[in-house]
Amino acid sequence: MNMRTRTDVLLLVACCGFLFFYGLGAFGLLGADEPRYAQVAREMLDRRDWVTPTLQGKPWLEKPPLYYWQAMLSFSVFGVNDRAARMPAAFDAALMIAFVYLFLRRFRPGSEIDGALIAAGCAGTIGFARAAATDMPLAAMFAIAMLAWYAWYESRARAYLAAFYVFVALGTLAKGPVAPFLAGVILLIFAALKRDWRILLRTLWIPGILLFLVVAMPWYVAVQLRNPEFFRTFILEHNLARFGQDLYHHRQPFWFYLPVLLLSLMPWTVWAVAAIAERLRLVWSEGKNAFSSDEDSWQLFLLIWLLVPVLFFSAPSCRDTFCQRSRPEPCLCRITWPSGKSENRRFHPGWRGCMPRFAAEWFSARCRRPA
Amino acid sequence: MVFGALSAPGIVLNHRLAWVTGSYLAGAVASVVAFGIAGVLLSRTGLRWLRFATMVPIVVGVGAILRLASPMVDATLSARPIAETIQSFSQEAVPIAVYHANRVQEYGLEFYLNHGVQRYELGQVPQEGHVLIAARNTAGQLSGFLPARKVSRLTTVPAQKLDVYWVAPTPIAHP
Repeated sequence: MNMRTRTDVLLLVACCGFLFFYGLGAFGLLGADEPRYAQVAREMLDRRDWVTPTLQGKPWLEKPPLYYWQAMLSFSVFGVNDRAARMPAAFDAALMIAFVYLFLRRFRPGSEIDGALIAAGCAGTIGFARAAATDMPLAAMFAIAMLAWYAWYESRARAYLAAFYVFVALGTLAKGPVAPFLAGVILLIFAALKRDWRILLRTLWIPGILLFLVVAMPWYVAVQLRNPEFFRTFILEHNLARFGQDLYHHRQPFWFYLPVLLLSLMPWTVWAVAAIAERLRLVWSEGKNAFSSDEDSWQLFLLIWLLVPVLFFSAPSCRDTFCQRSRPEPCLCRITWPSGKSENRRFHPGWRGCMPRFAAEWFSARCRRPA
Repeated sequence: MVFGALSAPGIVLNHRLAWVTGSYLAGAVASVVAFGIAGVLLSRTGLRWLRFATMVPIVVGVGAILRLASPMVDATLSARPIAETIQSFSQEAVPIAVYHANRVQEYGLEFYLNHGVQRYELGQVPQEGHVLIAARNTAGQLSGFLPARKVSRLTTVPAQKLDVYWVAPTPIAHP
């Protein structure tokens, strides 16, 4: 480990330690979800049952188990308290930042510490890293999966593709089918815009699919066998019906995610907006040539990754707080700016600002969550 | 960001930012300082130092929220102080019921006290002695749920507009 790497690691540990872990128990569990999820994990731990989530002894099948499993481990180590309940999200956020750093160091050297610190410093990241909820586990797993996929796309190393499948599976265990669905949509659009359908065929790698099934499926099968109502409760009611209908009267206007997005990006909002605007301008002016080089492909990928969840969950039937929470909310989306094609020479030439998008669950969960 | 963090206790307490002269002044000064620092750094040193400078308000903001706003957040938005209030009267597990308390308080009490909470509105009135958490100004409605039962107010949780009662067990009818 050279001096630069050591400094980077120390800086990241200090930042993540303070922003995500410091003062986790400074205030009690907030909203209806935090204490409910924590209680479910406590009951699972008391029964030593890793399959069926229960609340006050009754099956509670609204969410998959990743958060509960992490909270059970945390309760085992730190005892049952609100600090331990929030530990899983903080850990997942730190893991996500570590992967951002490692990815950038390997594939975009020179920007790794910038990207990791900016990703860690967004209001949305900090907020959700400190919440006992399923949002950060999903966001972290999904973000790592997408980074792993792009690492495979650039390097063709199968280990990255295997990591993609494993982390998509973990995302499925964090929040359900939304993780593989969104990953599929993003890759489909990317392949379509690149006009290279072989990307999709190569992504559909049998060992990877088996890995996905091995990681994600055992719990789904086990919980269905023990609780025959699981499919109706979780898949039909808490995914499809909640997505398509305003079951819980959480309807929001179509532009709801725009201010949420901008707030969650604070204090990096201006940079992110500039990066997106520049990329959209290039697409508009240069068409498919805007994404001809490797660097341009990366930016195209980021742009799709940024926009797909926002547009998808802004669809007319699903602007409710369910979607707000269930989309890969604080998923990492980086836009480099200034780009190679329009770099302003007055700016530091070595700088590559990495603009993460973290939609503002922190804002909405704290301020809008129905009591 | 720092301005927002410093204003957080007031926002939590009043559900809005108190726009008085001091707030305008502080907001204006904070904006001028922020844009000034950004401008100077951009023109003299480039974006790298601006990034480091931006991390400062993030750290200060998080620190300010944790140190200054968290007691207010805890007192007004979490069930933890309610649970601590109940435990200050009895360390033993007693049945808990709520009346016109919100879901945050109900689920929070379930976690902090580790047992179920009954809801008077749903007809779940425990027959044994229990602690009742009721919204302030609902005392007059309680007698309808608790005929011939002694109700004593233990304390109040003013930050959440709640009263805490001890409800005696249902008297045993003698033939």
